[in-house]
Amino acid sequence: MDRRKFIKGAAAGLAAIALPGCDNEKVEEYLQKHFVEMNQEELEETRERLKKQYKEQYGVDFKLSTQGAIPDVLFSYGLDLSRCIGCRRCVYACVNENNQSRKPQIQWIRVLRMENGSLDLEKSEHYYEGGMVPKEGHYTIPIQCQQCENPPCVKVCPTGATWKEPDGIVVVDYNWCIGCRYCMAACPYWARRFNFTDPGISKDEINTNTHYLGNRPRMRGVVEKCTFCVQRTRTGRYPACVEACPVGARKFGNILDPESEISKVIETKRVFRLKSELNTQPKFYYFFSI
Amino acid sequence: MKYSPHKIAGVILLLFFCLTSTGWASSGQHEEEKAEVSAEHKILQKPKVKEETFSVPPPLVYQGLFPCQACHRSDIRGVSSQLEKGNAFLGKYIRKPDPKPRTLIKMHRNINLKHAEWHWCLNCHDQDERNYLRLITGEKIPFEKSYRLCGQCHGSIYRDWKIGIHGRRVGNWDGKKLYLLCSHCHDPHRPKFRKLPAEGPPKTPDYGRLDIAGEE
Amino acid sequence: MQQERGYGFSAQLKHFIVQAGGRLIKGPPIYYAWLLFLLVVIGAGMYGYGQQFKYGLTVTGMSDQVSWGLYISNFTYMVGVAAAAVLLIIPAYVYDFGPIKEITILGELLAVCAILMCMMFVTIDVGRPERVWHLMPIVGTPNFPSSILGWDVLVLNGYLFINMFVSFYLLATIYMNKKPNYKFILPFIFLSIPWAVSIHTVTAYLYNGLGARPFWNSAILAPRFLASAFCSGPALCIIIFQLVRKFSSLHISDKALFKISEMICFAMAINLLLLGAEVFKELYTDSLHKAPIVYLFTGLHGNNGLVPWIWTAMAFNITSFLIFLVPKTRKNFITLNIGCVLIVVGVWIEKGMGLVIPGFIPSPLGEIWEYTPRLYETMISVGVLGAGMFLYTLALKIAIPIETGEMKLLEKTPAS
Repeated sequence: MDRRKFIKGAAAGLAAIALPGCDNEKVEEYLQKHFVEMNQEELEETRERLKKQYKEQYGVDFKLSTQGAIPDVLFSYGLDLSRCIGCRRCVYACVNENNQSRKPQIQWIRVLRMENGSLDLEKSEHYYEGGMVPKEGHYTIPIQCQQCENPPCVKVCPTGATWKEPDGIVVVDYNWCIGCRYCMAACPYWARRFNFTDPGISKDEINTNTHYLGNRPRMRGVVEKCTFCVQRTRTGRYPACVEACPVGARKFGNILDPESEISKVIETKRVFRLKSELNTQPKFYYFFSI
Repeated sequence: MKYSPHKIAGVILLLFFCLTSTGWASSGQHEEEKAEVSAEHKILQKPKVKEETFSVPPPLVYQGLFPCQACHRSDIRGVSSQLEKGNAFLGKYIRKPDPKPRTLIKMHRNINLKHAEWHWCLNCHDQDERNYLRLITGEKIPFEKSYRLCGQCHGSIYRDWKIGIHGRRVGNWDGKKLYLLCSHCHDPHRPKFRKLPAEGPPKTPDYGRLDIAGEE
Repeated sequence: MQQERGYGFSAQLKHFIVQAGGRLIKGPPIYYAWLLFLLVVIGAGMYGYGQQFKYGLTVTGMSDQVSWGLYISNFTYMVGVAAAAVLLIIPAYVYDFGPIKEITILGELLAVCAILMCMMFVTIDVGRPERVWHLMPIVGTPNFPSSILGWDVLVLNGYLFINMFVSFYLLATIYMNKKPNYKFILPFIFLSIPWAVSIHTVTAYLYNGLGARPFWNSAILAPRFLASAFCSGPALCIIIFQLVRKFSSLHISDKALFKISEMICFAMAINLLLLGAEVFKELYTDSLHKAPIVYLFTGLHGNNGLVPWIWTAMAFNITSFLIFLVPKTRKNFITLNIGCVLIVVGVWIEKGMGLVIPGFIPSPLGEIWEYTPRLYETMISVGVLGAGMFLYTLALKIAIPIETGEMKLLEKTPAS
């Protein structure tokens, strides 16, 4: 019996006495451990509890995976700026796949339109209207979580609720995050979003194929961001944005495999990363193929 | 003037070797020359390098007008089925295929070539066997290998496409690579992408904020 | 002088509680009016917090672009006020300057209330306050030593403990008519000096360590924080001490107040110098990193929400600097008080809104989305400030009689 169990038991006991009629599951949820500290049994319990909770909330059955990283895999992403036309289909594919709140609106990918000739982000347009793209004299650059190898957000999180997984993806345990938003201040790519209120998503819009660290429904007061579609990539599939791109501007793969597309991109193209002087070592490589 | 028997034997052996090796060489060369000569005729039909193959879904043309040779037989021009139906009127137009570049007025008028406009149809479509495409060397390739045709001029794109950098992917990053043909995304007669309508912009942060205390 | 009355500790405690309770309940009409006013303010804050609890942080003006706002601005300012209490300790104990010794306890109690206000601000700012135990050691998983917030929690709690301990010890010994054992308490007092510097330095490092925010990522940030804290905190103290000596029999000499005001003058000079250094560096280098300062002082691409605020703060700071510089105005109580009010407000603007908000504008992707505090947010912030003042008033209502000797262990009937 370790001290966590003791505290948990004592607290649960107190809670049971002090809050009659309080949901036992709510107490379980409150006293839940950090994801990385859970053993197999606790993981199973947590999964079942969450699946039940989501079923009650949304009225549909959920699949909740806790699959770990595949060994010898380090994900990387390539984005071909010669091809991107700024159609934003990646943004909405991501919203649909990852159960992002529709109202208030959360979008993990932000597409910037820039004038030809400079990478000055201050001159970028974020809110350009739908219209026929690409627009002459401009190029577009989509930015999402760069899954840094030296992530400043992980460095500053006071509770360790965000960390870097072995396959390179920086994840958030939504049940551990206290919502202090320090990581949002620390991120140089403005990749993180906060749930200022309960996420507004209906059961018709929900994607039930979820991962604990990825696209499961979030709650208010926690931070979320792109996870390279961990529910897809850990089963071998491409992230939703890669598949949605109509012009094939997005490349994804295992950088440790020399035959993967992304390894070839890095080998044969002149790649660069954003804000490299900050030494965040992002895994998101931008390049121009023509 | 003393010739030792060893020396003589050596010279004879040397001569012998020279003759035989020349003979071998010449015979080999001769064969090579022969092969070259006959190969000259074959070069147009078969490339020297090993052909690369990729697994691709069926080309889009299969859903349309294929097989071309249902109409385009090599000995006549025009609609052969009309002849078979005994259309005497069209029978007057039975001629050999005309290789002169021109705008088509009877058929395929909807194909507006906006691609390498100094070419015309029969630069890429084989004149004699219309079910095939034609490389610049004259080699016929099926529609499934149309990437070789595009790759003739678009070499750097072809190189990128072969290693997976160019073009869309769906499915698995660690699975078998499924390549799309060039023509799955690019209309070969008008390959430049038309503009797409962009999806809507993100909402500003005040969207969806609850209307509390009369403020929004 | 030992009292031989055979009181056990629990009896002493009960005696204290009875006396203190009496002191808290009875007071002049202005005392009731002040507490009532503060209770109304606190009530409004609680109502606002009820709304925030119900709807979430969406009731505030914060956004993904500007993710920290009024709450954290106030938190930063209050940490400065708490750190400034040490400014009173240094001359008292290090230089044994008599007139200040008696009011150091009041300064320490102010630090305690300020730290409690800081903790309240942070608690209402986080998205899930019930999960705050996640960052405590043993029960949670604090990301220590990597996260500066973890350090901040540690040093703030430590400072709270030290100040509470020192002030309660001193008050308890005076209450029990005993002499404080300085051998025991002096190490804690001396510890609180570097600790006070450290709480504000760690708070500055919260901002300083972020490469994503070039406005904060300047080496001069921690010295700026300290300089501005050391002028605003004591200025607040001067106002408070004048009120204290007006409404109680505690004697606070003019000499003490003027000594504090001299120190404020130096601190403000350094504050202005460091601000000038920041502005020079950004504007002369003229790199793209100048955007936040340009936004702050002149507006950027038509967005100029903070421009009137910062220029008001500049006017206040410079005026008060001059007031404190010239001995005639420094020693005149009317101008002195005006100067103090100007500093308190000016530094609040410069360090609160003028530091936290421009760090987020423009966003790391170049977007400008302005921040305006909304109604419930303002109500809650004012409520927390009111709660802090309420606690401080109650604390002084007990501490001052103890210091003046009106409230003693043996006294059965407290005098008004």
